[in-house]
This record gives sequence, structure tokens and C-alpha cells, in this order.
Amino acid sequence: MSATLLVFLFFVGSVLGISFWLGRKATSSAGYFAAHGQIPWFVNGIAFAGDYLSAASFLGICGMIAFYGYDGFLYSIGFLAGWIVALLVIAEPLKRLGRYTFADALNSQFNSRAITLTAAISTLVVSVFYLIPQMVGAGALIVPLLGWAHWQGVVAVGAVVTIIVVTAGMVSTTWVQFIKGSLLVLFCAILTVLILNQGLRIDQRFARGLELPAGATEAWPNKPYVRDGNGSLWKKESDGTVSQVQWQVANAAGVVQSINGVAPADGGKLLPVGGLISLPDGQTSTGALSPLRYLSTLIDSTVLLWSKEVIPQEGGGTVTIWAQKPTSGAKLMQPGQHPLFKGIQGELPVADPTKPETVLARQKAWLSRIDFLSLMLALFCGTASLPHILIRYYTVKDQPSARKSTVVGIAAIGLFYVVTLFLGLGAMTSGALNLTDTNTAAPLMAKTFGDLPFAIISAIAFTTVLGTVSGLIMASAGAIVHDLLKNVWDIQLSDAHQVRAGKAAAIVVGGLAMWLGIQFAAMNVTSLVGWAFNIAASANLPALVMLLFWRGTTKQGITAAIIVGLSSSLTWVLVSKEAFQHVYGYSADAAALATLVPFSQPAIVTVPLGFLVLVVVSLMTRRARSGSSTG
Amino acid sequence: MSSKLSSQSSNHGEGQDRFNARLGLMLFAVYVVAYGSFMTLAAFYPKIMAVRPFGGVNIAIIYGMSLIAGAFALSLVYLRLARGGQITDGEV
Repeated sequence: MSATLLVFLFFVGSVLGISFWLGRKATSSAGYFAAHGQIPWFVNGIAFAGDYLSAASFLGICGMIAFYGYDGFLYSIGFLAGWIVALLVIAEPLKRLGRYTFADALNSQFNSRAITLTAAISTLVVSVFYLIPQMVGAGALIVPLLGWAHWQGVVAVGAVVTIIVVTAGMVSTTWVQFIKGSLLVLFCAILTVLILNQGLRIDQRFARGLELPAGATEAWPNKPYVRDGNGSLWKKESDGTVSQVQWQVANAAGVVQSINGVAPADGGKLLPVGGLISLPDGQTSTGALSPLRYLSTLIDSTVLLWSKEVIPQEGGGTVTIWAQKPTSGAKLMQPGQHPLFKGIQGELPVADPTKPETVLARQKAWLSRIDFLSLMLALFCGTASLPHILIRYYTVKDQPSARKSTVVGIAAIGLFYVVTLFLGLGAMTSGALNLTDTNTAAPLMAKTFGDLPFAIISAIAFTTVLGTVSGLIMASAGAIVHDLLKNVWDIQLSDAHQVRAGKAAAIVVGGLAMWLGIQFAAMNVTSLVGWAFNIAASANLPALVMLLFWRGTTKQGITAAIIVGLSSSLTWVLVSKEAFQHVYGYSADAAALATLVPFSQPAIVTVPLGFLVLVVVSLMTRRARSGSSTG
Repeated sequence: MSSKLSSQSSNHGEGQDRFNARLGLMLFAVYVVAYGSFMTLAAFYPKIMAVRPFGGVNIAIIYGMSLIAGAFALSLVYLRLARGGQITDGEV
């Protein structure tokens, strides 16, 4: 067993141990909530960060920045902005209702079975969608650490978490979230110092600008690739030179036959990537840089990114080619490199009515921009609509300390997002990236600083996954047993039966999460979190806001808004181009044809739709109670 | 200024709730404008985002970092001004 693995197991083991120990202590003490009241606001604030900064935040954002630059940072900005909605708009009025769960709060005035049912379903759907990226992220952690396949990692995490939830009913205490949150922020800050200290340097591992090899033949008609005498592939650039590519051949069943011309069994593998091909003023390495200098130097550098092309073969197999794509730092340090954001680059094209293609181009450019704004709206509104975040907001008793905790939480989360920018950029230039998996960028980058940082960062992220996943599974099981079985279907269960039903529900949800985690493996976890935020904002925000601020809201209005918001946003993401491409396995072009919606992120349509439905239905079902509704 | 209203946690008046709600919404409006302008710039004016006013970094970085710092600053303002509970000066 390697030292890395030992450090990892020790770390995970101690956090789990502390969690069990404190969990037992909390359940044995009669006043669980009284104990909560005594938790200092600072500790509780860091616990907010521990709860919110899931593996998805950490792995996905770092990976997205490492491969696409600024675009990952856009998610950071949106996620943090969501806390402003939670603190300034939702928190205090919701707390005044004196309720602690999403379903209870919505139902505080109405006592309606329909609201409980729809709120429970919405909680379940949002939780499951939030579970998917956690599971995918878990797999991404296991792969470089243990050398397992992705699906094995997902199954291992799912099994461990389900066992924990079923056998022990793991109580994830505030203290454990505090430990995880502070470790994560602290260690990422340390890594950032290491990155800045190392500075930037040129990476010349990949050949480019070479003369066309003698005897090279065109590899495919109408493709810029040539094959030299040894059978190696090269990309023919527009200036006539050739540059090194990486390629992978798979047969019709999708089994990889060779990588870079060598069979996997003989050691054929993709070379790690991520480096600069030019620095300003012809430097080859900069030495230690200040944060500001680091960013400004990157803007003046050229980064070697890679573009991917899949070429179908006649026999049914495929050749996947990754070709060098030098990209200016100036481009990478502003939005628009990620496929999702591609359309927002450059100016809006001018439409000439006599030329249909220009009209079409303008239309397409508009749709990309709406898609982008829609995602940013979802991130903004999503945080305050996540049931498990809403619940956590109420772990302290009095209002001032709740406020102070939130401010500490915002500070910790904000600091974390600032450092993740540097972690992601550090990974981008680390020379350690895996071309096929954006989610492993942060751990692989940590590995360049030694096995110890790698083991620690993996352990922190892994523990975070365990905590978040078990929390989400518990929340889902709770929604099934409490809201659905007891309140909706009126099934009276003894205490022991309730616990058993909860465990059965946990196993089902855990199994579902594992299956989905394998299905969605190819997607960047941050994109998946984006979906969860879209659905949460569409389903929950209209009901929550209108209940708090409009007296005319009726129970039918709330029910209808949740049903319409949930089903419309869920359907939308499942028939989007991203889903066709990454989940159902269509090629990019086929996915663009197959999709049924004009852009991928539904929030900009489905959130207003939820508000509209709520208002219309409420007005239609409003009773004659003029005395109380003079608002 | 919160000291005048402090130590009256039992007197949970509707007035202070309304004050807090209005304060929250006002600060929220400030943030919405800042966030919305940023996204408008990102979506429609990439050239402005690329301008490098000082320190060699571009508007995209400066504005993005400011949104993060601004969220923290606004939450501090809210913490300072919100009424209710037992906030006493110097405890923050």
C-alpha cells in the first residue's frame, strides 16, 4: 500500500471517526437543538461553507477553469451571489414563519396535503440532481488515487455512504462540517501560495512547427491530419507545418485498441497536458509572482489548449484526435471558451434581411446569450431554493448569530472561490491534466507538488463527498418517510417501522445515485450542478418568494407553481443539447439536431413561468377573504 | 445605531421585521444591478471586459473579484444595520 493511500485513509478515517463520535454524543444528549444554540456563530459560519462547498464546487470549478479559463470563475461568481439572495431576501421572513423545512414553511398557512406532496417531490428531484455531480466527482477522485475505473469509484462511494446511512444513521454535525470547511479553505489557500511561488514557465513537451515529414499521407479525406512513415498522426496547420497530436483508436464496441499508436496493455496512454507555449517578453520562466502579476502575466501569455475530434471509421470504430490549440491568455481570462459559453464571444453579428444566413447567425448569437444569462439567473436564484441549504440556515437559535454566521460563511466561501481561480489556472499550466476528464484537474495539479498534497486534497474532497452525499440521501429518505408516507398517504407507522422505511428509502436513493453517477460520468460536475440549480430555482423560488411577499398567494397557486416549475425545467434539461450529447451519447452535430429546446439552460423561461402560474392560479382560486388580504 | 434598539429580543415587533425586510431588499437591489451589469457586459460587450485599466488585469477579472468582495461588503452592511436580537456595539 502506497504512502499516498495511507495518508488518504488516515485522513478520511479520522474525519469519519470524529463524525461518528460527535454524532453519538449529539443523539445521546436530550437537547440536540439546545446544543446547537450554543455553537459559536463563527464555527457555524464556517460550517455553512463546509456544507455548501461540495466536491462539485471544488473539483468542477477547478476543472472548468483549468480547461476553459474564466468560464469556471463565472460559476463561482454566480454561486456566491446566490448567498446574497438567501441572506437578504429569503432568510429572515422565512425564519419568522417559525418553520424549519421547506415543505413545512410552504405549508405554514395552509395545511394542505397537495403542497406537502409537491414540495416533497421537488425536494427529492432537486436532491437527486444534486447527488449526481457528487457521485461523478467521487469517481473522479478515486480514479487517479486508486487507479480504478470511474464506475468502480462511484459504486464504492455509493456503497460506503449507503452503509453509513443505513447502519449508523450518520449525524453530520456542525462541528464536522466546521472541520471540513476550514480544512478545505485552508489547504486550498496553501496550494495557492505554492502555485504563486512557483510562477509560470514554458512547456515544450509537444512538438509543433515541424516540417511535413517526407512520405506523409493524408489520413482522411478533407481532414487536416497526416500519417507519417511510422504510422504516427500529425496535424497539418494552415501554414504548412505539422504539430504533434494525441490519438486513440477504439473498435465498434467502444473498446480502446491503441493510444498514440501503442496498445493500452503495452503502456499506451495519453500524455498529460496543460502548459504555456509563450510568456511575455520571451521569458522561459517567471519565478514567484504576486497574485495580480500572475493574472496579468497569464493574459500576455499563450496557453496550449487541446481540441478534440472524433472521426468515425468505416468498420464502425472511431479515432479520437486531440490537436494542439494555442489560445491567447487574453481570451482565456474572459468569458467564452467553454462550449456552453462559446456563443457569447465577439460582437453580435449584424443581420442583413436580404441574406438569410446572416439573419440566422444573429438569431443563433442571441440564443447563446440568452442561454448564458439563463444559467447566471439559475445560479443566482438556485442557492436560496436548495432545500438542504435552507434547512442549514436555521441551525442557530437567535437572529443576530444567524446573520453573523451567514456573513462568516460568505467570507469563507468568497475566499475559497478567489483561491479556486488560482488553483484552476495553476492546473491549467501544471502539465498534469488528463485530456479525458476535466474533473480530476485539481487533484492532479496537487500531485505535481508531491504525493502528500495530493493525498490530503483527495482526502478532503472525498470526505466532503461522503458528508454531502449522506446528507442528501438522509434528506431524501426523510422526505419520503415523513412527507410522503406519513402526511400525504396517511400511513401510520410505528417508530421502528419508520426507521426501517427510512433505511429502505436510503438504499433505493443510494442505488439510484450510483446508477446516475455512472450514466453522467462524461459531464463536468459543475455543468451538472448548474442543472440542479436550474431545477431548484424553477420549482421552489416562485413559491417561496410569493408566499413571503404576496398575501394573495393560495395553496392551489403554490402547488401549481411547483408542479409547473419542476416539470418544465426537468423536461427542458433532459431534452437539451447537453443531455443528448453527454448523457445519451449523440455526437455534437446529431445532438444539435435532436434537441427540442432552443438553448440549454431553462431558468430564464421556467422561473418567470413559475411566477406567472402562481399568480394566475392564485387569482383564480382566491377566496373572498377581503378582510385579511388588503396587502 | 443598533444600540438604541438592542436588548429587546422579547419585543419582537413587526416594525423591526419590516425595517429588516426593506433594508434587505434595498441592498439586494444594489447587488442585482451590479450582478446584472456584469452579466450584460459578459454577454454583449466582450470588448469592454477585455480592457485592462490598471495592474495589467482586465475588467472581467476586476469586476468578477469585486462581485465577490461586494457580496461580503453588503452582508457586513446588512449585519451592521439590521435590527432585532441582541446586537450591541463592539460585539461584532
